[in-house]
Amino acid sequence: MKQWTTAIFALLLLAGCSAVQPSGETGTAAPSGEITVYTALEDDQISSYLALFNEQHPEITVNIVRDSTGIITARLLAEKENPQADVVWGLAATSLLVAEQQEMLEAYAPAGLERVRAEFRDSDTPPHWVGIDTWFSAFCVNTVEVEKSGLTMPTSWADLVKPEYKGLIAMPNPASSGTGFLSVSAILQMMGEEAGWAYLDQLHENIAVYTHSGSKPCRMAGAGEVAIGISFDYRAVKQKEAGEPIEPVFPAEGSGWEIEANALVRKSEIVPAAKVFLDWAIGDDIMQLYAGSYPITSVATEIPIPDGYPADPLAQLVENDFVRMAGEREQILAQWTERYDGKSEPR
Amino acid sequence: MAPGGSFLLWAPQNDPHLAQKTMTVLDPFLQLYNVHKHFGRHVVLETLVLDVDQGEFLFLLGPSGCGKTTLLRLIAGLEPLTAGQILQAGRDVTRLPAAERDFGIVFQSYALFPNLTVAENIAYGLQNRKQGRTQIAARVQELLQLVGLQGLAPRYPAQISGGQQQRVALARALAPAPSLLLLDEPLSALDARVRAGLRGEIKSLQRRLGITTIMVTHDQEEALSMADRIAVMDQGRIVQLDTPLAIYQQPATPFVADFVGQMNFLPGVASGEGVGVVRTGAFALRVQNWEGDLVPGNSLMLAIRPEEIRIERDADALSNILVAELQAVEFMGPVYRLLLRHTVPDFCNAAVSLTLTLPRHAAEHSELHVGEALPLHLPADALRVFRTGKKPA
Amino acid sequence: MSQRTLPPGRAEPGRLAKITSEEWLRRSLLLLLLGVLLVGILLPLVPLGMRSLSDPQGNFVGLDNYVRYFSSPGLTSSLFNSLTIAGKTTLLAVGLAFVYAWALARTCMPGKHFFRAVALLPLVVPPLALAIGLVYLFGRKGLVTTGFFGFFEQNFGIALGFDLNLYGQNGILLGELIYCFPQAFLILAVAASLADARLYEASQVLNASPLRTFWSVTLPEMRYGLISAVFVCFTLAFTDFGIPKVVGGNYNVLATDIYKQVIGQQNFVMGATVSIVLLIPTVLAFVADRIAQRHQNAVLTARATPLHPRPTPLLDRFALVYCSLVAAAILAVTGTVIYASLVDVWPYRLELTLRHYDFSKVGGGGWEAYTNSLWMAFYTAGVGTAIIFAGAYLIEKNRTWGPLRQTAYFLSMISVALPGLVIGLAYIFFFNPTHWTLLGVEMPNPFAGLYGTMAILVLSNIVHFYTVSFMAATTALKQIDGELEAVSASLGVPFYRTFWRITLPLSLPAVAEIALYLFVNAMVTVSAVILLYSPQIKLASVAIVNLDDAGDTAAAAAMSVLVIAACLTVRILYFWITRPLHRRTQAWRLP
Repeated sequence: MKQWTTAIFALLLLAGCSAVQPSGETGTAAPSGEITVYTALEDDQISSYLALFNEQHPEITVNIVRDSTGIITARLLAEKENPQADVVWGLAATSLLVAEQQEMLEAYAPAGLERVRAEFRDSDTPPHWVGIDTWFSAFCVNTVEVEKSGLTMPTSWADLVKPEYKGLIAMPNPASSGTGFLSVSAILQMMGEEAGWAYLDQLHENIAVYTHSGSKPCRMAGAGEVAIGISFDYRAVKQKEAGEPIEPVFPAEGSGWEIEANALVRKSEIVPAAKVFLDWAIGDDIMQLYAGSYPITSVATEIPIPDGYPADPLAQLVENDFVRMAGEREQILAQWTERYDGKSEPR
Repeated sequence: MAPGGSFLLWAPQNDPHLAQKTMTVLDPFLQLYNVHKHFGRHVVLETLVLDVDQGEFLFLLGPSGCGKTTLLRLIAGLEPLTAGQILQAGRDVTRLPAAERDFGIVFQSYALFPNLTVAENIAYGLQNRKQGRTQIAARVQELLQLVGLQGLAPRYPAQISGGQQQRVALARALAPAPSLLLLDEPLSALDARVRAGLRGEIKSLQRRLGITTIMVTHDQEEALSMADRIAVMDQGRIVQLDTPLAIYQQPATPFVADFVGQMNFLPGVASGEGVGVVRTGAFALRVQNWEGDLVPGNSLMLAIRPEEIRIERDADALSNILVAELQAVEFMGPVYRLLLRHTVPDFCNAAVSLTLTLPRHAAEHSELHVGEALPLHLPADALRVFRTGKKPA
Repeated sequence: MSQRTLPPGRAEPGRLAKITSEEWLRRSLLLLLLGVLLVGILLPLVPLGMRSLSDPQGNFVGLDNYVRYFSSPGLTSSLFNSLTIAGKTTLLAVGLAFVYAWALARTCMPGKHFFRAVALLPLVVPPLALAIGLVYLFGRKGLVTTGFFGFFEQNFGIALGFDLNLYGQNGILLGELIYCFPQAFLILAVAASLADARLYEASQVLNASPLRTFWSVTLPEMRYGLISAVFVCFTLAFTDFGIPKVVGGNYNVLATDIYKQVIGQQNFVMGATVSIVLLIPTVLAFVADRIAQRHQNAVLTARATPLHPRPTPLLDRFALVYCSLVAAAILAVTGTVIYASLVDVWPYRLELTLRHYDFSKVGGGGWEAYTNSLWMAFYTAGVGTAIIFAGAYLIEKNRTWGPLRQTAYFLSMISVALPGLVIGLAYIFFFNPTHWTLLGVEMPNPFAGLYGTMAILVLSNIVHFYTVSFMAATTALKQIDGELEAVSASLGVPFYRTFWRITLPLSLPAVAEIALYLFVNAMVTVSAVILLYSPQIKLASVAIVNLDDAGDTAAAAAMSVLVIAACLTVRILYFWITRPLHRRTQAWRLP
């Protein structure tokens, strides 16, 4: 009994101290080891994408840190002095532009870069970031709730400010959500600064809650907590497929959009496995998978546009000046926070 | 020193064991030099000197708060002393922690390990001494027999009586064969009958083992009946250290007189009528024993034990007579206790209460009536004189 | 008696006793404990305080951050909101728990065991799960809001739907109420069971009305329990962020502000500032409670005789109805979480499915996070119990080094006033940097290796739940006669042997209780670990937050159910294991 208990305690103490630590082994032929990847991709996408990577590169362990675009961006910037991430995967290009301005990204040309459409990557050679797809605003409208409450189906941004939707709309907080930011930036670019903010003021009247993540408004609409969720294409289509009473609505004026892109984090020890991951992340195999989720990918694929998306996705996109938006991001967010943050969900 | 010299003087310095043995012959077994203890500003023990002889049964007697338990804990090393030195068997143990000293202790609360059986309790101090299992078992049996608890070995403390628990505690303390036994009010938690029985047992056990023993108690009867010597303590000092009889008969201070046994106190004034005459009110009393000078006019305190006072109807025949009014008679079993009141005019007509004990037969033949004035004879050799004008509280 | 002088050649000894090897061991252990407490509790608060006085670049700016904090209306409203929530929750939870505890202790209502178990049920439910349960009950599509999905309307033609307007103050209040209720109940149940029957008999003899008896006997004798309950509830409700996060809507509180500043905006300076603001009321409450408890000893007399309630049909019936209502509310919230985790698409497809337990399509770390949490809880219970009990032993059963022991005692007690978020943030500042800068001097951080490991998670949990466990250990140790140690020493037995053979076995029930307490809390806690977990070690409770954030509420409910299941399993295991253990090691307790 005595030895037994002593052994358990010793074990506990040892186990309490021994830690799982990332070990960046510098392999020779096939780099192996552990990398930390920051991403704002959707959880359900990550699991299927990562399954492919694990199958093709079993020697590399990938630790995923997933959060909303704003959070990942803030975290990345905060860790500038002592970066934790090796790779950024599927983060809004505007966010990566900010990181690039802070010289936090290492230029790297992943294998197969030439296949990537020019407008989907950094103009520098080698590029600091490389896009993989785009995503754009969409409304998730709960058909059951709309019918029950005798509402009309909204079809445009203009519709959303109708008084009948008062308290029935959820929208992502642009400070934390990339989806929120692309919607706000689209409105400001389409309508101009002054009219844009005036529109947002009106919209604010109808908003029930500003959520922390871009997918949550769609989730809330799917559960009937709100009637309309301002979200993005993939989420709307996916939830409709899952059987929720959701109808994806792509606003008539056009959708705000963003490129999701990858980058290599600048740090003292860049592990080779990180480059392996970046090469893989724009490879043909994974592009096929991206194309299953997104109608527009950075490398053209044979995959037809999935059901539920607009037939001509490119036509749905509004004019978008990324560089300008990246430059004005901080100022827009500050103004937005000052005006509307009271209704924001915690975070 | 040349070999072949006196054994007692020849103690080689390189043989501490032998040195110790020789020392025990020469010196008291336990020596306390100027031991002092205070907690913060509160002095618990005044600078104090005490010697305890080999095989002696010494009592520390005093009211609660007099420092007797603290003194015991200092001897045990359970409490560090503020200043002073303690020698045990010639060895300086002052700075040794309890674990490195050689003693056994029994507490008032027994402090038996509740989760161990009687046998395990007794064996507890043996298991650390690299003894074999059978050796330990034999020793436990021996001790169980010594305290008369054979057959209770597998019981838990909660399953045996208080008196039995106390014996287990005693056996446990004795198990490692210590040279010093410390008992901290070991009997006070027991009821009167068990207590009386255990007194005799502990005393005879102590005699048989010849173990030097220090026992703390506030029960003067216990001390008087068991002790070789008693150290009476008051307010952190030893006020008297002597045999039970001497302490009873010649208490050094009114405090001792009052604390050990019962004592009557009478205020008085030294008189010029003759050597050893003290006036108390209208009465002149002759005393035999006193210390120093009895300067006429000085206030004194006379003391006498209740059993020394006699009722003398033929008052004229004797001196040393005092008249007091009988207030009450209490039947105490073997004796009667008489409560009397004596008025002393010199002292603002203060009434002094006197107690007197009479054997039952004597009392029953005396035809006592409450309210009558009784002439009392206070034998000169039984009167003690204290210089203090005040009676102890 | 003449004073003898010392024999020549003998020096006057000093005050210190000779230090033996055993004493060295004791002191080393005490120093080690103090070291752990300093590193775990006190030192991390230093960089936290410093950071709140600095700008983001680390330059000293005095109270600028506080000025900025108090001049920004959004943030100050959070302070006000937090105080409002804490005040109202305390009032309600303590009130409800008081009646509940009183009903269980002082009436003859049936089913007391059941009602006690139900009252304690929320202890094993993560606060976030409570909030999720509320969403499914009172959210816009909640069971209650929709009148059980229109069930009553369809069958009886009456619309029984009721919209509580959950998101905001209402939701937070309701959640905190359920969260704090069992904590208040635990304290008050003990207080209520300590009644002295003699006082009630006296009151009865004096012909006092029941109401007067209540005012003059019941309330006074329970007042220390009430003060403690108020302190605990206030601190919990004031610092909790799980519930406001889920059902807070646009009602911001301090705890969510810290989270928003630190995680959302990575604004550590403001996070530190808000943390200090959060810390002040909890420390004040702690001090107030300590001062009040100082007088407690006088109240309980050893000679009190236990009170056996007598049947009073009317009162017993009222008690039963009351307890049933409260129990129903607790069961409803917990049950709804379980139900929601099994429903396919709430509220549109109510078919039952296990698909939400397949976490592969959602974030948060899924089953791996769950396993991590189990390990973390296991380590916290094992290592924590060892440290806390040994610590309490060293403080309680030591004679030397008084000031050192008092310091250790103070540190052991103060940790209860530290909100989890504050611990988490303080740990980031203390453990993360590879170098500390002290007064301009740079030195390597010896603990930097801990950051992002399981060890720091375990340490943060131990510290977070230190005080309650410590108090339980101290109480258990105080019940052991101090002379047992003295006797052991006189028998020449080293203290560690006595600890192992006597002290530990005698305290085994308390030790098991502490281990269970640590396990359950490590399993459900979010506040400290959410700032400290690393991508390699995701945790179940954090997964609930992230799942809810992403809108995967059903998966969050499923994870909650798993956490509850683990806690209940351990509780049942504890019961099974400790019963024979009790029988073996506690045989001496039997008559």
